Amino acid sequence: MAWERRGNQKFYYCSRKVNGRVIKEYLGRGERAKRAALEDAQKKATREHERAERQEWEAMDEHIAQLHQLTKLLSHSHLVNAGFYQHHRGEWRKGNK
Amino acid sequence: MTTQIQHSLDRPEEIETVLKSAMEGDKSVMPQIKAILDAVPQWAEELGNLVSQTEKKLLDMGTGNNLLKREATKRDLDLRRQRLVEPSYVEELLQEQIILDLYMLQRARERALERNDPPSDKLLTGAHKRFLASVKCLEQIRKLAPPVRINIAENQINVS
Repeated sequence: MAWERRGNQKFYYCSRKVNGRVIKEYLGRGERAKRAALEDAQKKATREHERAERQEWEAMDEHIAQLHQLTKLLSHSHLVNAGFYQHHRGEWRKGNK
Repeated sequence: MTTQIQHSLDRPEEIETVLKSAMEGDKSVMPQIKAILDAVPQWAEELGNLVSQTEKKLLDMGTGNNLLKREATKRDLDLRRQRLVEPSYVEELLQEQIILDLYMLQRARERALERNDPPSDKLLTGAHKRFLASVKCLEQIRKLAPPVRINIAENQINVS
Protein backbone atom coordinates (compact mmCIF):
# COMPACT_ATOMS: atom_id res chain seq x y z
CA MET A 1 0.00 0.00 0.00
CA ALA A 2 1.85 3.01 -1.24
CA TRP A 3 1.92 5.96 -3.54
CA GLU A 4 4.07 5.07 -6.53
CA ARG A 5 5.54 7.51 -8.96
CA ARG A 6 4.78 6.99 -12.65
CA GLY A 7 6.31 9.77 -14.69
CA ASN A 8 5.43 13.07 -13.05
CA GLN A 9 2.47 11.80 -11.10
CA LYS A 10 1.85 9.56 -8.10
CA PHE A 11 -0.69 6.74 -8.05
CA TYR A 12 -1.89 4.71 -5.15
CA TYR A 13 -1.49 0.92 -5.24
CA CYS A 14 -2.87 -1.55 -2.78
CA SER A 15 -1.09 -4.91 -2.38
CA ARG A 16 -2.69 -7.99 -0.88
CA LYS A 17 -2.16 -11.73 -0.95
CA VAL A 18 -4.56 -13.94 -2.88
CA ASN A 19 -3.92 -17.71 -2.92
CA GLY A 20 -0.30 -17.14 -1.87
CA ARG A 21 0.38 -14.61 -4.62
CA VAL A 22 0.73 -10.86 -4.12
CA ILE A 23 -1.85 -8.94 -6.13
CA LYS A 24 -1.31 -5.25 -6.68
CA GLU A 25 -4.49 -3.27 -7.16
CA TYR A 26 -4.42 0.08 -8.90
CA LEU A 27 -6.48 2.75 -7.16
CA GLY A 28 -5.45 5.78 -9.21
CA ARG A 29 -4.94 9.23 -7.76
CA GLY A 30 -8.45 10.47 -7.20
CA GLU A 31 -10.80 10.46 -4.22
CA ARG A 32 -10.78 6.67 -4.00
CA ALA A 33 -6.98 6.59 -3.75
CA LYS A 34 -6.92 9.33 -1.12
CA ARG A 35 -9.57 7.59 0.95
CA ALA A 36 -7.69 4.27 0.76
CA ALA A 37 -4.41 5.99 1.69
CA LEU A 38 -6.08 7.61 4.72
CA GLU A 39 -7.58 4.29 5.84
CA ASP A 40 -4.22 2.56 5.45
CA ALA A 41 -2.47 5.29 7.44
CA GLN A 42 -5.05 4.93 10.23
CA LYS A 43 -4.62 1.16 10.26
CA LYS A 44 -0.84 1.56 10.43
CA ALA A 45 -1.11 4.03 13.31
CA THR A 46 -3.40 1.62 15.18
CA ARG A 47 -0.95 -1.25 14.64
CA GLU A 48 1.96 0.86 15.89
CA HIS A 49 -0.01 1.97 18.93
CA GLU A 50 -0.89 -1.65 19.70
CA ARG A 51 2.74 -2.72 19.29
CA ALA A 52 3.94 0.05 21.64
CA GLU A 53 1.27 -0.90 24.18
CA ARG A 54 2.23 -4.57 23.97
CA GLN A 55 5.92 -3.71 24.49
CA GLU A 56 5.01 -1.59 27.51
CA TRP A 57 3.04 -4.48 29.00
CA GLU A 58 5.86 -6.93 28.32
CA ALA A 59 8.39 -4.60 29.98
CA MET A 60 6.15 -4.24 33.04
CA ASP A 61 5.62 -8.00 33.16
CA GLU A 62 9.37 -8.57 33.00
CA HIS A 63 9.94 -6.03 35.76
CA ILE A 64 7.36 -7.65 38.07
CA ALA A 65 8.76 -11.10 37.28
CA GLN A 66 12.22 -9.94 38.37
CA LEU A 67 10.82 -8.48 41.59
CA HIS A 68 9.00 -11.75 42.17
CA GLN A 69 12.22 -13.71 41.74
CA LEU A 70 13.98 -11.51 44.28
CA THR A 71 11.16 -11.77 46.82
CA LYS A 72 11.08 -15.53 46.36
CA LEU A 73 14.83 -15.72 46.87
CA LEU A 74 14.55 -13.65 50.04
CA SER A 75 11.76 -15.82 51.45
CA HIS A 76 13.74 -18.99 50.69
CA SER A 77 16.79 -17.49 52.41
CA HIS A 78 14.56 -16.76 55.39
CA LEU A 79 13.50 -20.42 55.50
CA VAL A 80 17.08 -21.63 55.16
CA ASN A 81 18.07 -19.26 57.93
CA ALA A 82 15.31 -20.74 60.11
CA GLY A 83 16.84 -24.21 59.62
CA PHE A 84 14.75 -25.59 56.76
CA TYR A 85 15.85 -27.18 53.52
CA GLN A 86 14.01 -27.91 50.28
CA HIS A 87 13.56 -31.61 49.73
CA HIS A 88 14.20 -32.47 46.05
CA ARG A 89 13.10 -28.97 45.01
CA GLY A 90 9.70 -29.69 46.52
CA GLU A 91 8.47 -29.30 50.07
CA TRP A 92 10.41 -27.52 52.79
CA ARG A 93 11.51 -29.71 55.69
CA LYS A 94 13.10 -29.00 59.01
CA GLY A 95 16.84 -29.82 58.94
CA ASN A 96 18.43 -32.13 61.49
CA LYS A 97 21.35 -29.84 62.26
CA MET B 1 52.71 3.64 63.16
CA THR B 2 50.35 6.22 64.73
CA THR B 3 53.08 8.81 64.68
CA GLN B 4 53.71 7.91 61.02
CA ILE B 5 50.01 8.50 60.27
CA GLN B 6 50.03 11.76 62.19
CA HIS B 7 53.08 12.72 60.18
CA SER B 8 51.28 11.83 56.94
CA LEU B 9 48.08 13.63 58.01
CA ASP B 10 50.08 16.75 58.55
CA ARG B 11 51.21 16.49 54.93
CA PRO B 12 48.16 15.71 52.74
CA GLU B 13 50.25 15.83 49.59
CA GLU B 14 52.19 12.79 50.85
CA ILE B 15 48.94 10.83 51.37
CA GLU B 16 47.87 11.76 47.86
CA THR B 17 51.16 10.44 46.46
CA VAL B 18 50.81 7.19 48.42
CA LEU B 19 47.20 6.72 47.27
CA LYS B 20 48.11 7.40 43.66
CA SER B 21 51.01 4.92 43.80
CA ALA B 22 48.73 2.24 45.32
CA MET B 23 46.08 2.82 42.64
CA GLU B 24 48.75 2.35 40.00
CA GLY B 25 49.82 -0.99 41.54
CA ASP B 26 52.93 0.03 43.48
CA LYS B 27 53.33 -2.72 46.13
CA SER B 28 55.99 -0.82 48.07
CA VAL B 29 53.39 1.57 49.49
CA MET B 30 51.18 -1.20 50.92
CA PRO B 31 52.40 -0.73 54.55
CA GLN B 32 51.40 2.94 54.40
CA ILE B 33 48.06 2.03 52.79
CA LYS B 34 47.34 -0.52 55.53
CA ALA B 35 48.25 2.03 58.17
CA ILE B 36 46.00 4.67 56.60
CA LEU B 37 43.04 2.26 56.36
CA ASP B 38 43.65 1.18 59.98
CA ALA B 39 43.64 4.80 61.06
CA VAL B 40 40.56 5.73 59.01
CA PRO B 41 38.36 2.57 58.86
CA GLN B 42 35.52 4.53 57.20
CA TRP B 43 37.64 4.71 54.06
CA ALA B 44 38.01 0.94 53.96
CA GLU B 45 34.26 0.55 54.40
CA GLU B 46 33.53 3.15 51.75
CA LEU B 47 36.00 1.80 49.21
CA GLY B 48 35.65 -1.92 49.92
CA ASN B 49 31.91 -2.35 50.35
CA LEU B 50 30.87 -3.71 46.95
CA VAL B 51 27.19 -3.71 47.83
CA SER B 52 27.14 -0.04 48.73
CA GLN B 53 29.20 0.77 45.64
CA THR B 54 26.75 -1.13 43.45
CA GLU B 55 23.83 0.58 45.15
CA LYS B 56 25.38 3.99 44.47
CA LYS B 57 26.00 3.07 40.83
CA LEU B 58 22.43 1.81 40.48
CA LEU B 59 21.15 5.03 42.06
CA ASP B 60 23.21 7.02 39.55
CA MET B 61 21.79 4.93 36.71
CA GLY B 62 18.22 5.16 37.96
CA THR B 63 18.06 8.80 38.94
CA GLY B 64 20.59 10.49 36.66
CA ASN B 65 20.89 14.20 37.49
CA ASN B 66 17.58 14.32 39.35
CA LEU B 67 18.83 14.92 42.91
CA LEU B 68 15.31 14.99 44.38
CA LYS B 69 14.56 11.54 42.98
CA ARG B 70 17.96 10.28 44.14
CA GLU B 71 17.46 11.51 47.72
CA ALA B 72 13.91 10.14 47.87
CA THR B 73 15.01 6.75 46.52
CA LYS B 74 17.95 6.64 48.91
CA ARG B 75 15.69 7.40 51.88
CA ASP B 76 13.25 4.73 50.78
CA LEU B 77 16.09 2.19 50.52
CA ASP B 78 17.38 3.20 53.96
CA LEU B 79 13.92 2.76 55.41
CA ARG B 80 13.64 -0.69 53.87
CA ARG B 81 17.09 -1.53 55.18
CA GLN B 82 16.02 -0.60 58.71
CA ARG B 83 12.86 -2.68 58.38
CA LEU B 84 14.82 -5.66 57.05
CA VAL B 85 16.16 -6.38 60.53
CA GLU B 86 12.61 -6.82 61.81
CA PRO B 87 11.55 -10.49 61.64
CA SER B 88 8.25 -9.75 59.95
CA TYR B 89 9.86 -7.86 57.09
CA VAL B 90 9.92 -10.84 54.72
CA GLU B 91 6.23 -11.35 55.34
CA GLU B 92 5.54 -7.70 54.64
CA LEU B 93 7.57 -7.85 51.47
CA LEU B 94 5.70 -10.95 50.34
CA GLN B 95 2.40 -9.22 51.08
CA GLU B 96 3.48 -6.26 48.95
CA GLN B 97 4.49 -8.67 46.19
CA ILE B 98 1.12 -10.43 46.40
CA ILE B 99 -0.71 -7.11 46.09
CA LEU B 100 1.40 -6.28 43.04
CA ASP B 101 0.85 -9.72 41.53
CA LEU B 102 -2.87 -9.52 42.21
CA TYR B 103 -3.15 -6.12 40.56
CA MET B 104 -1.16 -7.33 37.56
CA LEU B 105 -3.35 -10.43 37.38
CA GLN B 106 -6.54 -8.35 37.32
CA ARG B 107 -5.19 -6.07 34.60
CA ALA B 108 -3.87 -9.01 32.57
CA ARG B 109 -7.26 -10.76 32.85
CA GLU B 110 -9.09 -7.65 31.65
CA ARG B 111 -6.66 -7.31 28.77
CA ALA B 112 -6.93 -10.97 27.81
CA LEU B 113 -10.75 -10.75 27.79
CA GLU B 114 -10.63 -7.56 25.76
CA ARG B 115 -8.06 -8.62 23.20
CA ASN B 116 -8.22 -12.40 23.15
CA ASP B 117 -4.81 -12.86 21.49
CA PRO B 118 -1.80 -15.10 22.33
CA PRO B 119 0.47 -12.33 23.83
CA SER B 120 -2.32 -11.32 26.27
CA ASP B 121 -2.91 -14.96 27.20
CA LYS B 122 0.82 -15.36 27.85
CA LEU B 123 0.79 -12.32 30.14
CA LEU B 124 -2.22 -13.68 32.00
CA THR B 125 -0.62 -17.11 32.47
CA GLY B 126 2.59 -15.55 33.81
CA ALA B 127 0.72 -13.23 36.18
CA HIS B 128 -1.41 -16.10 37.46
CA LYS B 129 1.63 -18.32 38.09
CA ARG B 130 3.43 -15.55 39.94
CA PHE B 131 0.41 -14.75 42.10
CA LEU B 132 0.02 -18.38 43.17
CA ALA B 133 3.76 -18.74 43.80
CA SER B 134 3.80 -15.61 46.00
CA VAL B 135 0.80 -16.81 48.02
CA LYS B 136 2.53 -20.17 48.46
CA CYS B 137 5.73 -18.45 49.62
CA LEU B 138 3.83 -16.42 52.22
CA GLU B 139 2.01 -19.48 53.48
CA GLN B 140 5.32 -21.36 53.80
CA ILE B 141 6.87 -18.53 55.76
CA ARG B 142 3.83 -18.24 58.05
CA LYS B 143 3.61 -21.97 58.60
CA LEU B 144 7.28 -22.88 58.91
CA ALA B 145 9.11 -19.85 60.23
CA PRO B 146 6.68 -17.49 61.91
CA PRO B 147 8.06 -14.61 63.96
CA VAL B 148 7.64 -15.12 67.69
CA ARG B 149 5.64 -12.33 69.31
CA ILE B 150 6.06 -11.67 73.00
CA ASN B 151 3.71 -9.35 74.81
CA ILE B 152 5.28 -7.64 77.77
CA ALA B 153 2.64 -5.53 79.49
CA GLU B 154 1.11 -3.73 76.50
CA ASN B 155 4.28 -3.57 74.41
CA GLN B 156 4.66 -6.21 71.71
CA ILE B 157 8.19 -7.35 70.90
CA ASN B 158 8.93 -9.34 67.75
CA VAL B 159 11.63 -11.98 68.02
CA SER B 160 12.71 -14.09 65.06
